[in-house]
Amino acid sequence: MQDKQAVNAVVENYAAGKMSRRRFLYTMGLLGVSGALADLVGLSPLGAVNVWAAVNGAEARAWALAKAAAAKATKKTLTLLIPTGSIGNMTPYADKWKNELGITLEFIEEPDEVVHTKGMQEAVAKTGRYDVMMPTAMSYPDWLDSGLIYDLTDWVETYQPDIFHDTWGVVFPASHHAQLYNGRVVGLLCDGDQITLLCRGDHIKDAAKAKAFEDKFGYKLDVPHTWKEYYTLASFMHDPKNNFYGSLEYRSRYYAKWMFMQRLASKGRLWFDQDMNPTFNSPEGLQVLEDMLAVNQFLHPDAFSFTWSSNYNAFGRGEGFMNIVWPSGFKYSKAPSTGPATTGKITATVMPADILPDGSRLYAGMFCWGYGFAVSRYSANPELAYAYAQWMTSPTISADAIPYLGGYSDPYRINHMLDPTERLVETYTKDYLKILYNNIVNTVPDFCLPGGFEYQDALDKEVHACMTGEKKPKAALDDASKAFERITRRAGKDKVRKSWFALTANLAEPIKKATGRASWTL
Amino acid sequence: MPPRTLSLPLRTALCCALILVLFPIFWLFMTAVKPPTDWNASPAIWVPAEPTLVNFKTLFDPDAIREYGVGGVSRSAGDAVFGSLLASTVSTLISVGTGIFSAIGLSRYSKGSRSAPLVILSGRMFPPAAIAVPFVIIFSLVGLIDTYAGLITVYVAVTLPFSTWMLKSFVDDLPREIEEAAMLDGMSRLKAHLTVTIPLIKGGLFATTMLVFILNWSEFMFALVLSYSNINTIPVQLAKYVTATAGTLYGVQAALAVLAMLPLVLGGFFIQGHLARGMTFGAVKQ
Amino acid sequence: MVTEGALPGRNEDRSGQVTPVVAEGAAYGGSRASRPAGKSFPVGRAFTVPGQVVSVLVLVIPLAVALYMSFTDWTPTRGGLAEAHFTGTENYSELLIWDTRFLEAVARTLIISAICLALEFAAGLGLAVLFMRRFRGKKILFSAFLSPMMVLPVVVGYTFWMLFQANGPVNQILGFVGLSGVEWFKSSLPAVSAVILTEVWHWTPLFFLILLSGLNAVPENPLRAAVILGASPGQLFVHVVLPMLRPVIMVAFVVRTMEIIKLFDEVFMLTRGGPGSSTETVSLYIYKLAFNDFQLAYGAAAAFLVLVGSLFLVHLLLIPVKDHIMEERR
Repeated sequence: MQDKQAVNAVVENYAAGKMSRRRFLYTMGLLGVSGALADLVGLSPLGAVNVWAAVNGAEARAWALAKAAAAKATKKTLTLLIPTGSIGNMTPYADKWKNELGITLEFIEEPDEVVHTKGMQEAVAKTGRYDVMMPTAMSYPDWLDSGLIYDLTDWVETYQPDIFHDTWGVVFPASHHAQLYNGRVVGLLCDGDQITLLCRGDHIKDAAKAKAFEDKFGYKLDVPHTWKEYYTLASFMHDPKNNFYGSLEYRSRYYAKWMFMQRLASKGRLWFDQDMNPTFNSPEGLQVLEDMLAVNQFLHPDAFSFTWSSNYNAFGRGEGFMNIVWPSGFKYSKAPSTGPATTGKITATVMPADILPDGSRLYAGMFCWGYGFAVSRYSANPELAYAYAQWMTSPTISADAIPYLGGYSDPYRINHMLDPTERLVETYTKDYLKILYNNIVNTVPDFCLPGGFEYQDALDKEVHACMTGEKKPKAALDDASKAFERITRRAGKDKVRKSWFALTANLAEPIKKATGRASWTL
Repeated sequence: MPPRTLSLPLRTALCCALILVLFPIFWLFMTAVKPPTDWNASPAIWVPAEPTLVNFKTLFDPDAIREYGVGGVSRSAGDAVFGSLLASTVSTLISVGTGIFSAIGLSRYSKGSRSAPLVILSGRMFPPAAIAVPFVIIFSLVGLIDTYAGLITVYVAVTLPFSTWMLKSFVDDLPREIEEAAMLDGMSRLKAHLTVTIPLIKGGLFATTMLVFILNWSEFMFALVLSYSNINTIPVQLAKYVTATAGTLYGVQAALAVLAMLPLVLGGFFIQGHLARGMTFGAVKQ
Repeated sequence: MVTEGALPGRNEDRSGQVTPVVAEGAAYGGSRASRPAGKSFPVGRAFTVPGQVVSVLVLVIPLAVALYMSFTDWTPTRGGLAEAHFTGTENYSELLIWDTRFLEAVARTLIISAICLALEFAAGLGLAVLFMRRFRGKKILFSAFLSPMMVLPVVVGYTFWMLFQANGPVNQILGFVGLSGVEWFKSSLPAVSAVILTEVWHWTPLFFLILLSGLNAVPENPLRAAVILGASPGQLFVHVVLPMLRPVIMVAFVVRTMEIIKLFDEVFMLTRGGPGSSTETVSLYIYKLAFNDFQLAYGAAAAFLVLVGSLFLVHLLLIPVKDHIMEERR
């Protein structure tokens, strides 16, 4: 006999996010709600929310705003500027928007590296062509300063997308460094791009190799936990005669800098100190370059020309033991069509830690690339655009959107990683989602500053020159420092400093401590 | 010197040159017929075991490639092909059409100043990335952004100096006595040029048209900057064949690239006689 | 007279009694005879009007805007162009004095361009000379040798990127003949070579085309005379043919120089300017300034410096032709 009140309470609890779906289904079962019904309600969060009308949900609030905005809209199209290849997460909802709101979603795709430029162009041309724009977080400062996009903070406060929610919000600190500029919300994250480490688990489980490894190095063969272990593994597994390389780490232009930045962060260094002096021109920075040079001999021969596409393909063909990838790379290696040699054989882990001077281990990760939705200031329909952004990134819709193929979206909310839907588990596996969570909490941001693109290019150029042997490490870092100083001078030191201070205010505690950020003053 | 047939060493040299020249094109054609599984093979596959036309089909039917497990191509390349044809043809016609008259005017009716050619050519020598934004500013004021009219305008702007200069050298090549003879016979100036001058520099006209067309057809940066959703050209479309599930779609890109070569190769083939004849730039007179 | 024929190759039915005269400044400007008398003047002048109108509207105005931009510190993050501060020649001095990356890019572009042009000329000339002979299949082969020019620059870029992969066909071929594969993108010399090879492959056909037509038009009489006087084929070529071809060669160089200075698409696809910045052409740098860094005013200044440099270069290239004309006049 169903106790209606009890069921309602449970449903409310579930809808309020106070219990996981597993618990919900279990409890519903205990209360006598038939398995099938409970399943129907709880199967798709979409369904659960709709059926049980959790009006306080971020999705519902966004939908309500969308309805109101759509009703008074004269332009019945919502135009989105998106990078090519990302459309797969968004097209499944086009019909719903058309049928229920009368709004046609129009996608304007541009090559990935052009989105930033198109934004700049729009800042100049002010055509009003775009409503929603999907850049990486590195674009936000320049875009906001150019008057191209809205500061979303007020809308966020009114409509509550729950981005800082402790149960289903965007995972901290990504919630801050991928969505804020100078403490104000300027974009809603829709793609959790952090780098993680993938290993060929079949080689780790290989008994012969395990024995040989333990005999040689004195500890058990496993995924690397420190950068030193990473080096050891790369050397051990390196087998060029069989077209199998220690690691597929990037050494190509545009990607090399992230490898440098990742290791630098692991050593407890951010990119600037509190006076905007570049910090990589230091013993730690030098050590990072030396470490990277040392690993060069164990890398894939195409490492110097890899794009994410060719890197994923090489790993999928089974040409390396380790690879540093974004979550999309995991999907790639898992699928039989793109990872014929790796499907079912991947063991993933968080990025290796480094040993600090005081002997402790520091785990750091890099949150780099990830896309988010911004609202164009020249849009005819800014509220509708914002409603779209909040709706697509809401805890419930996003959990539904991410698993769709043909798009770049990766998990970014707590519920995606710790309380995933079945489809999310199918796509990423429970273990990997856990790893994503454990890694993301330690991430540091990319150059999400005014002039960010200039900084990253200046650093990348020098790191790459060092990797190819054109420059000695010290010279490369000196030149990078000089370039950085010039960029800071031209951009306005106070302006960049203010934004850097705000950007680094939100980091995992161990990183704050190790980098000294905890004691900075503006 | 009477022409000789080729000796063996020369024939070998010619063969080697031919291989060097055609190999990348061969590679492009092979890539265009490779199924997705072959695109990223390592070592690289020269000739696919199972050639397929799916890449070509995908250009116009985006879902065709799904049978190989590759998804994410969201639009047909049809508008890009149309756009390239429209923009390149119209802008070339306007550029050459205006250019021939400027060339005649400069050649026959003005004192040749030494700096004229340099001034004429400066439009061609300006890095496009830096002039794209001024165009954006101006076009946004007159509503020409994302229109073929705007793109054609830009293409005419950057090729007009070039066609003027090239055509002028062909006109210079021609002795003005020929036209004067026609005019003495009572023909008007305009008629004289239309019926006498222009036909006589036919070779140069074809050559200039072909070169200008190639420049417009291959142009990428302005098309990228000026296109939003209403216009599209082949070079811009090429850059958009990237998907999340399969990375860069090398085969589909190659298929579009092969298609893009067709008009140029065909055009070149038909006018090749005129090409070789016409481009002496007044080097030699008889 | 300009004659027509169906096949590229020597013209058989030339009447060849007239001594060749290099048309004055055909490539450089100015025409031969004196101007005709008065009243036809306005009509004649009118011919240039459409071109001038178009030029002013669609070329001069944007260039003027770009020029104005180059004297400001404008970037969209500081507001609109109208509000930008006028900073005079600050951008120019920064570029010429402090911006080593710009100066290096310019030097690099010049060196790469010079090497490419030299190779394209040599290969184009070699092919053209070869095509002066008679052999079967010339028409098809002519089209074949022109085809690299017909491939879109972006396509050339990424095709060669594929060819130069570590396990790509180029290394496979090298392995075939017993050489070890080259890591094309791992250090600057191979990377620059890859860029040069790509560019030379793409544009040699243009030199081939222009030089072939020039060679076709070389009249026989001076050649016969030289042979009678005892010249060897080598001397014939160097001292008789080449000088006659000079205007043609110059035009080919000018046309190619104008384009190669803007070298962008191929390099972007091949190396993105790397390793480090060893293949970063000035065009790539300006693209980065304008499109990534939003440094529009600074980028405009850099572009004008490039323009002035190119004009100067082209002027230099055309001088030999001018001198030749002066000689003829005497």
